[in-house]
Amino acid sequence: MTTGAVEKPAPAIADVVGLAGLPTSRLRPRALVLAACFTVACALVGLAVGPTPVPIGGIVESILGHLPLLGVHSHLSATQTAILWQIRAPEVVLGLLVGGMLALAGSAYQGVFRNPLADPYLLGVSAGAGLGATIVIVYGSVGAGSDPYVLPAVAFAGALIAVALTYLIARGGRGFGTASLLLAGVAIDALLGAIQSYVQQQAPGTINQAYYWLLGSLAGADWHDVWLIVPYCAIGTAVVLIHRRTLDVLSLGDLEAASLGVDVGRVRLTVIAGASLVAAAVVSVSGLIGFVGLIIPHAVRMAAGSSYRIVSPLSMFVGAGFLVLCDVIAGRVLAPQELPIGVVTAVIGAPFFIVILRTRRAGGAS
Amino acid sequence: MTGVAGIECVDVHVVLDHHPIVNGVSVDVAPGTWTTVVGPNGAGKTTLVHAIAGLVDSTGEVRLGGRPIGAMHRRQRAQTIALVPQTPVIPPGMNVADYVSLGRTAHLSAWGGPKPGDRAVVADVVDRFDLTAFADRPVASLSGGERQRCVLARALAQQSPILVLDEPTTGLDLAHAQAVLDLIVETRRRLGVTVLSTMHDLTLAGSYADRLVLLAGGRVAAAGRPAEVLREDVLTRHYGGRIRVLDHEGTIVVVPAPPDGAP
Amino acid sequence: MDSSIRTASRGRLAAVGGVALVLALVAGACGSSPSSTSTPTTTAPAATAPSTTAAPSTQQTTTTTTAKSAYPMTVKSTAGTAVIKARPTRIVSLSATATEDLFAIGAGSQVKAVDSYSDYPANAPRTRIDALDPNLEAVVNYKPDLVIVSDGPARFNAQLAKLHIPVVNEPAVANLTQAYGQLEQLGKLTGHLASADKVVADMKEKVHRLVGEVKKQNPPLTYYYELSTAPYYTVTSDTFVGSVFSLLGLHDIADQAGVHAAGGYPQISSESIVAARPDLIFLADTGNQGGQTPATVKKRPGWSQVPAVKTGDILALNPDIASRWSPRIVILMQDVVREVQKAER
Repeated sequence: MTTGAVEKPAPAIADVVGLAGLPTSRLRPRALVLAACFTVACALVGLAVGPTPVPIGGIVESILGHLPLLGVHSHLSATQTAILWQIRAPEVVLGLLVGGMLALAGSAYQGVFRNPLADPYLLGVSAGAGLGATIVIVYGSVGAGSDPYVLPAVAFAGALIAVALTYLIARGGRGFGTASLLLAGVAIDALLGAIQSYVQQQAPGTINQAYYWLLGSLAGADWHDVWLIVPYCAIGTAVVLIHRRTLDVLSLGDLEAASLGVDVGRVRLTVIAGASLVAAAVVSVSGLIGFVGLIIPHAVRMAAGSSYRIVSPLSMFVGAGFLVLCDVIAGRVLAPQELPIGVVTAVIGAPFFIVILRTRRAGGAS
Repeated sequence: MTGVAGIECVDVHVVLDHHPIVNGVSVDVAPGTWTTVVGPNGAGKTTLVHAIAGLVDSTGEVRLGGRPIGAMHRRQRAQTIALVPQTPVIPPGMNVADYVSLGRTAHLSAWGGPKPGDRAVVADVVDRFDLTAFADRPVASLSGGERQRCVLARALAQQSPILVLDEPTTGLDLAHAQAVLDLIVETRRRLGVTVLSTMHDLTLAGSYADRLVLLAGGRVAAAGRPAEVLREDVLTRHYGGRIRVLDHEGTIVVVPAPPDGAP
Repeated sequence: MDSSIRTASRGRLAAVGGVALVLALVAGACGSSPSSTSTPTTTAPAATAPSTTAAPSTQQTTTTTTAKSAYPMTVKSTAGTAVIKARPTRIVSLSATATEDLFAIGAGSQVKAVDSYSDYPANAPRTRIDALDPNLEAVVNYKPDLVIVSDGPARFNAQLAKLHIPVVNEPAVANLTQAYGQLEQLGKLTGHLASADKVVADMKEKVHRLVGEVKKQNPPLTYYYELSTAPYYTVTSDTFVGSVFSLLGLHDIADQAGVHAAGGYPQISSESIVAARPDLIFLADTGNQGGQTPATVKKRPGWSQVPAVKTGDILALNPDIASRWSPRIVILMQDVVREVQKAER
């Protein structure tokens, strides 16, 4: 090749090496399609399974019946249609949203903290939302006498306030790092948790209600819950996905990322804000569902590669389907009792988590 | 890409955690030359080069290619000066191709991904550094020497006219250290980059650099050609210890002197 | 303090003893009449034979009372053995139902303190003592000579026993018969047996009349009884309130999961309720017990197809009456019968 300062090497090299061979990570369309199919399949399972038998054919027919110009008519009874579209469908859609957002937020937090063991509740989202919800349950007039959307609004505000507090505490000076954030998160968790216990003691009769909310549940979801959180989910998703390449750069550490031209502080703040926004939004309507944000990005990493260009988008789809499946299990395994969904995700998630820890300790590069 | 750009520092001070580390350093690196900063542990070598790279706050003036660093947007700065850090962070699971591609970060637009031009640059640098065979292997699985080549490749993928190397031979045996340094020589010859490095090994430093700067206590204790700086009196004054400087067929060799009384 | 009470009570004891003897004879006569099904306690006047009769439902624990004259009385309940030396005049009631019963049978003047949940009648001496977690000192402060509890903490009962304060457990009942039995036992304990019998007879007559006002439906009308939302909790017919509805010929949709599911208080999913298509809905989570109303029920997603919602046969119950087994249960039955008549085809 010619020596001297050449801007571009001769096309021959670019053809041979750049296009044919260099194995950089990218999100292959096939992986995306596979993930999307998984999500759709889980959604169908969620629509089909329940205490009342509704045939899958009838479900598909009913869905198609809603699409214009197809001329398909549903043969389900009025009761079955009501169950399908007013009870199951909102729960499934909410499950998809919550699962997808928790997994996406988990991947974002793992990228920002450079730690695959981070989860979206690290900076106080859960403590803040829990405190907000407990305050409403104990002091508010709960039940439909008051506006039923007070609780989600206060939980949402609580979550965001907690994250803001964590951030403010961690700002020792300029360029504070992930370690300060983590410690501040621990402190806020402890503080808000203590206040929450105190508040709860003021009305021991409501402990059941608060406990049930804290364990997380998708039952009783209606379409309004879904629309309520869609805007926040859209904004937060956009923020996180836009930064997916930058998260890969962040994995080099603050110093090297800065040397590559990244505004580390601003990126960290932006990604945390976006991830916390979606986490707060879904937690406010579904309670605290654990393990999804932690294990789904991990599973995706193990299956498809550790670049955030792959992990973040795929985690959304996989997390969405996964949570719907957990919801089905929660509703059916002890029927007619409905298990809190947080129990199911923990039962599945904890062993998975242990497996992750063991493979990491064994030196697995993942 | 690589035009020519030099470094000018005037009275640079860096204070970290209330401790003054760099105390009024003025150093110039002419475009296309190789300057190595040497000095005892704790002299502030790493902090100085970080300040020059704009990665740590400093007072005083730092100009890269004639432009003050404060006036540069961080992307511009990254396109002007590239850093090979002392202890690079190797993300587990990242393969060589991805790792080297990170060097293009400052050239990518906010919205799009890498363009064919970016990919070509990466492919070229991977080829030159004989990393093509490892391209899909995790960087963490490579040997020390191969890993250092990856880090260097990433820095070169940045296509910056100034290259900063902080202790590039740490942890490498003699052969691998030489290989890395030879690569830098080759790159300088081909692309005309300006090189600023820090080094522990005074002999190696003297063999490869055009100019040496001896830093002690955050101040410039001596600066000049290797022969001017690598002198027993200068080194003993600032390093302490027993030092002997030998000239072997034109190569300056710095060795520890044996204890008193030994032959 | 104690000695003055003892002197006073000894002075009254003679008078009361005589009256009690007469009452006991009368009670004995009433007790053997065929219409009353036996409660767990039977009093044999001037006889010491303890007798136990197994109640129709096995849930009720057996309590025995022996009496020569009415006092001293020995009462065994799951709270232990209580010896009541004389007619109690300083009763502390830690049971909302027992409070209502005591005042209904005319023993109100003997009640010195009731717990925070005992809000009926309004002139009951309400305190801040929590029936679920009673403060021993607060209770002892009233110098009670009888404490009535209802499935309260066992440790509390043990502490009272150590202080030689008689405590009697009147647990939650499974049917009306057992409720009548508790009224009569309280009558015996407080020396108002005749009055208690009158109250019971009155209740029986009203219940009989109300049952007659309901037409037999074939197939029977179904109902869903709501204890709470998020998650939905309901009752099976194996509970007291469930048994009352069964008397009126109504069929509980929660029975499909088995009458003994979750001890009578199973959780139920929204879907199961909608799929069961109940003809009637009864809300016990109204007011400050959950704020549900027929209007809020109608808004629930998917419930518009439920027959009870379509016809508007949703009845908000008084949550206090619905959770107790006092004479006021008749009021609840009246409201339910009215609703059923509306729904009858």
